[in-house]
Amino acid sequence: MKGGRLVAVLLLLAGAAGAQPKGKRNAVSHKPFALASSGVVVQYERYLAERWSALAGLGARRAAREDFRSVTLSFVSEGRFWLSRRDWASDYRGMAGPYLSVAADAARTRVTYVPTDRDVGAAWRIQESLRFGNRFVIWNLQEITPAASLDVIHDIDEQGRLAPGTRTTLGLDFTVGWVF
Amino acid sequence: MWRGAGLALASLVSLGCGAPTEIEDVPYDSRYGDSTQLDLYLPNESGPQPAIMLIHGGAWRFGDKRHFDNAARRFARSGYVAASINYRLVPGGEFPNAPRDTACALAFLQKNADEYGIDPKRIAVMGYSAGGHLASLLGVAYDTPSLAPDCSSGRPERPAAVIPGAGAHDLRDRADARWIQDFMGGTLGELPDEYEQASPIAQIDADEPPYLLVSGGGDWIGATEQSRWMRDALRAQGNEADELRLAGGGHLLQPGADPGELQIEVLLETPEAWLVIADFLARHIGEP
Repeated sequence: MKGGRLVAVLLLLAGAAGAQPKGKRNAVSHKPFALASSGVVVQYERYLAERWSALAGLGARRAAREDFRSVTLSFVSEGRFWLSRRDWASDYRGMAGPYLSVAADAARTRVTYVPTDRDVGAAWRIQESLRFGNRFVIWNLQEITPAASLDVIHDIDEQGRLAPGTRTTLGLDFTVGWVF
Repeated sequence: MWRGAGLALASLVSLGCGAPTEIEDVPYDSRYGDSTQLDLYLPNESGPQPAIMLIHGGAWRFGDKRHFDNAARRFARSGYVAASINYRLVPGGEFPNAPRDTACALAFLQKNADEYGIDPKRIAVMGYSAGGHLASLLGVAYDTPSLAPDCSSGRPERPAAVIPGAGAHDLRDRADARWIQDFMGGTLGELPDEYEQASPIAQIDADEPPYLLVSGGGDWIGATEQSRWMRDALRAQGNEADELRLAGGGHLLQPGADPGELQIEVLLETPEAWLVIADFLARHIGEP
């Protein structure tokens, strides 16, 4: 019953906007949460057609401290389906308002033991996500996009000391950027 | 790097192979019912294997052994025997009951090592949050008379390695916290000796097992600075201890594969921690 209501709401939102986007077709953004782990993520998004946009980005972080150092390099990608193409708060139209997306990310982390400069090893994390977000656009330029996701995570040790591990979890996402 | 990517892909394809045998609700002390049971995750490999005893968190009041089931399955698929334990929670688990339960669980695994294919000399202890405190205390106070369990398995022998994640190591420093007072059954002013006995940092001698301490730079619940204090205190007595601190790591929110995303998980399951733990276990309890 709840699922049916959700689908109905999504269909209403999807039908509320016209067929052609009236806003800008590009967006560049970064993710402020990354700064907390000494990281950065920069991503580019392009409106494709028929409510769809595609996004790709690169990230890095150097999070390990004390007796260890680490470098993580990431590739992020996402396909978004814009439900209404309208930010109801600002009345901006285009890649704005609520969206559903699927995302796939891959990251490689290498860790070093600092006292002896010993290589501890490297690992991959591959992640698939189902995401729901909402983009706010202000001043016809600035975008702010919070999102929540259901993530499936695969951890893989390159040296094979641990078997691959898979689990699901919830994620929070937040981007700040510009549309143009 | 590309060779690594190939290995990673091959590993992913093989995911699901070698599923461990799981034995749930094994009583290690039959007097307290569900509170003193453990789940065992047995690898397919035969013969004595190194083992990891996992202690869940939850402010000594909440939580369950199933919190560590993903990690336990991964360890078991890797060839380790994993045992995730329950222990008495507050109320009923006030100090020294919960620490005595963890000591009893370790003694149970050592005593029944043959039955479960464990090498009793190669058992590591790992815990998170309140479980991190209990793991840390077990590492330095496994032979302390006042914390000795009175269960049928008797006293444990020294664990081979200890991995406390986001745990408190000096309860006296956090004595104003309500959850610590609930666990201790009183305030620091009322129970100064008990607070000292419950603080791993106050129990350190020479010849302690090696420690790997994991902490989060953004952990506002865990006692982040205490991991460094514990490492330094262990080293000062000639023991081996290292600390991994994760910038941006919270108590239950960690950066994901996308560094800009925050995920609900514990520090011990971040890529950095998995790597360091795999290396630490291989060096101190050996690869399976």
